[in-house]
Amino acid sequence: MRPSSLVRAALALALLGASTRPARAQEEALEPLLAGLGAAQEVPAVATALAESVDGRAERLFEPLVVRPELSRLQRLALELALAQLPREAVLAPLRAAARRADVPAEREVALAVLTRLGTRVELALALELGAADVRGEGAPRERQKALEHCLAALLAREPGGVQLLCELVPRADPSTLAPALKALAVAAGDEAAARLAGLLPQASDAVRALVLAELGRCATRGVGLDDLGVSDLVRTQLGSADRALAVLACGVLEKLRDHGAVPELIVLLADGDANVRSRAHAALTRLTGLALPPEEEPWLAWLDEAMTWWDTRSEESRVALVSGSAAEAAAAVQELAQQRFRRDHVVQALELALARSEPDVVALTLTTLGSLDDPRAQLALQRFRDEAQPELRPGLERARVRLDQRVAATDHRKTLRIPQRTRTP
Amino acid sequence: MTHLCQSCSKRRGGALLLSVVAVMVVSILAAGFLNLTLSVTRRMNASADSARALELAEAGLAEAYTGLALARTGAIGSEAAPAVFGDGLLWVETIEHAGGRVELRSTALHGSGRATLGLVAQPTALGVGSLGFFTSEDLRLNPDVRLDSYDSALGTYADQMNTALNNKGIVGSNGDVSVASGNLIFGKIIIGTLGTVDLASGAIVTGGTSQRADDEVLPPVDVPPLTATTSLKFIGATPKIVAPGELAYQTLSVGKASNMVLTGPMTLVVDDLKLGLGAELVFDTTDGPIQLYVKNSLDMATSSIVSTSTQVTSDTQIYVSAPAGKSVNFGAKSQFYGFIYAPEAEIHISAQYELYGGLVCKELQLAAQGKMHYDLALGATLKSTLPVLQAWRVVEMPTSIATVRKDPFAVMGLEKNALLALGEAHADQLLDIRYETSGGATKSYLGLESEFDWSEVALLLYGSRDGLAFFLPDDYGEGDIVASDPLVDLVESSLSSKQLRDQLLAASPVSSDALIAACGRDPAMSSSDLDSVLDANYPLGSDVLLAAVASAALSSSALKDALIAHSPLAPEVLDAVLARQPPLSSSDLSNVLAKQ
Repeated sequence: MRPSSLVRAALALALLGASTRPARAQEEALEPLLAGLGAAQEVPAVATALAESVDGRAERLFEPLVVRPELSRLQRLALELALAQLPREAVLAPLRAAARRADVPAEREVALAVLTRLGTRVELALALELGAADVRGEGAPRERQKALEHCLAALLAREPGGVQLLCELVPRADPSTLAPALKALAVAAGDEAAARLAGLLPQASDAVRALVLAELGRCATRGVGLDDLGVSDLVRTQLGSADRALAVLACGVLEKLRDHGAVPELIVLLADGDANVRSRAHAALTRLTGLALPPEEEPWLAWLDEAMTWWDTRSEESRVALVSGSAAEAAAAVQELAQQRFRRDHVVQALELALARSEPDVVALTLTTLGSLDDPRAQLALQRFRDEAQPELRPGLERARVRLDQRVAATDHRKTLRIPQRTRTP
Repeated sequence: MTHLCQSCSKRRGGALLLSVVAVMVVSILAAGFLNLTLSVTRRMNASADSARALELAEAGLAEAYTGLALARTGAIGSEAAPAVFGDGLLWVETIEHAGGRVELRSTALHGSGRATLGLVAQPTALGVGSLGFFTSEDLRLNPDVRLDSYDSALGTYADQMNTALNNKGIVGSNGDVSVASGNLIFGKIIIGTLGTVDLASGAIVTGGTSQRADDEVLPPVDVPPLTATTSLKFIGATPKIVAPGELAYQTLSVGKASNMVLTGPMTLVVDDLKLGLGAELVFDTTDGPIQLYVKNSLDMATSSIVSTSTQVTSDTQIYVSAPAGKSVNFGAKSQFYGFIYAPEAEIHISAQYELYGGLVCKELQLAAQGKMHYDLALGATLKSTLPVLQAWRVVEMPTSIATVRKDPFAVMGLEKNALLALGEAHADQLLDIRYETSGGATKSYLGLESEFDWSEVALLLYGSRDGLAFFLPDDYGEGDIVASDPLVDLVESSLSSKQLRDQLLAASPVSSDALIAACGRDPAMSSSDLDSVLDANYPLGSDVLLAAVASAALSSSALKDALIAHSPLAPEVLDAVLARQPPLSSSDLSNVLAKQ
């Protein structure tokens, strides 16, 4: 070995010794405090003592969290609460350092946990940095994705305005953080979730649009974004996407959004070159209209033509009959409306007019008709009516609700799989 | 005189002749009438025999049809050993058709009467899923394996641990079964017709061992005719969402640390499936089931992850048509809810691939400490009643039977007393029952039905034939939570958060069930709405507090207020607070802990 190498090695050893000595010393200083922690009630006092013992140096509390996985939950909690008692900038320093380093993956997950406890919406960007994959172009480990999702959810819940900020950050975020970011956004944005997610569609890449559509589908399943025309419009733009897988996903979302306005565009897709698009469009049409027409364009176009003619020529007359016609005319209008399979949302709106009539028979007929419509808006209409319903109409209302529930269950288009049959006669 | 005598002598014998003729005519007429009468009688007898044979054939069909509803095979007797009923003979054959339909053919013989009737019915499905964990070759289990059961129709596995439903696992083989030390089999072992069981010391089998009536013949995998022209080899940071539909790839690979989501309803055919290090494959069956067909090889790296979005085991099915010798390695870390069927393949399953559902394959290598939980819902169709009758017809009789119209016992050389009665001549099956004797003792039997004495049974508690339940105890579904509070229904309706808040505030104080439902609602109530509802219902019980802590909908500060108001907290609530995800903020948590 050359002398210069020996000198370098000696220097390195000296530096290593210098760096490990204080670490060991600080560990020794913290140890009695942590070891004395017995019950959850003692955590605040121990945390205060820990915070006082480190002279404002947050990394002395942060490092044990990273390098000592054997710490108990209460001990980790005490360290995290102690960190929260230090000056904010001092705490964020080791977290920012962790975001820049890729050699200690565990550090990022601990940093996310700490940020979850004490972060604010200002730290959303830092959270996204910490949640990114170690290697660019790869996905982040599952534990980190989960930690990021929890962290974002906590930050968004802590302060208003976080949702808007996250929406601005998402297009620039590392691709590996997108899935947890969108999940957190979908939960935190509440009733606005669908609109927020759909707003990301125009500027996103194909891969991200697929993620957004999948998340939108989950929102729509929960009834979020049901009557938001802006959401439907943005999703409909994906029907013409060059990536036909996006069109397939969009068909599914439109079906769940109960977007009756998309019916003409879905009919056009029945002639699409991609078999999966045709099949998904047909499934969506069948669900939206309740019609069992074949998966070809012609019969659907013929039906649409008839339906649109009815809406152009007869719908206004029906509305008038429902509001100011005689009881017989109103009943006839209710029955005529019940036969319409196009624009079911408008049918529900029109039928609600009849619920305001004074004749119990007409109201009862309307309730029955609403109960036969496979549309969540009908359920909402029944719910609205429930509060002011007169006692004699309540049984009819309940029957309608039960009928609607059964109908929704019966029209669940999930395919049932058949497991191969056992051979009984070998 | 002479003249007179001559004429007399000429006439002599005429009367006799007339008499003879008359007698002959009468005789001929009598014979004719006799013949006619005999002929009419014969025709009437033949007609009566035919009618009786037809009725016998009907009786055979009725017995077989009822048998199908009781998980029997439908077969009764055979041509060589028919069942006896009245003075006739009959047997019922079964022919299986596509789609699980069963044709029953009942042939009956009575005197000179012969009849064959056919009936097509859709019986209770008996899928290969009812075989549990099954290998067509010998099965050798490695040490410390746990195999048990649960019923996904009645709740989660965790809820059914250490209950009767956890103890109904089925481990089967067409050959031998070898159980290693430390194995825990909560259920029964069913070996092949010529198989044996080797039970090591320290192994536990709670349900006993029996031999199957016939070896199972596993139907081949019916791969959908989709042509694969490309491969999908994905590596990237953004998860790859594979849209629903019918898809085929030569190779489907998920690269290192990449994530792919298969979205149902989907039928996916791949030649080769490969998951790299740290790769994740998600089966998203929220909107429909996924059937994955693997034609050649399947390889999941040890650090890869496989997950399913739901716990419906019949929604995720993996079919492997690869022949023996190909690598089929489920090495990923997974809690896999699904069914794996590989009739020709040798399957390797690692200890970290925890299977909830069923597995039927040719050979199985389950790693030591592996865990598999059989889902009873895959097998027994519990809600079935009578099979659906689809068609009925008179079938042309086999010529050998139709031509000889004599006493069937004489023709077939059978002794009437040696034959089984109609109700006892059903095809033999594996019977699994629990019952009470007339003395009040509870007993169980697992074995061939022909060897069981039904007269011992005073009260049937549970019964299945070939794994298909035909009688269930009244308490089978106990634990199935039925909401009785109408407010719980209201919480689960599609009301908006604000509407629901108003309704619950108007109805306050509401039940704990309604509050718990509100905390766990999907879509969640907004934090302020949920906080208002909880606030109006103080004091809250520990169960409601636990639900509030578990609810991600409640903000940290709102939860803090509720917890402080109910401090000191019960230990289980405090534990839940400390473990909560997302966690309380530091300041909120400090405040809560300070009040304990």
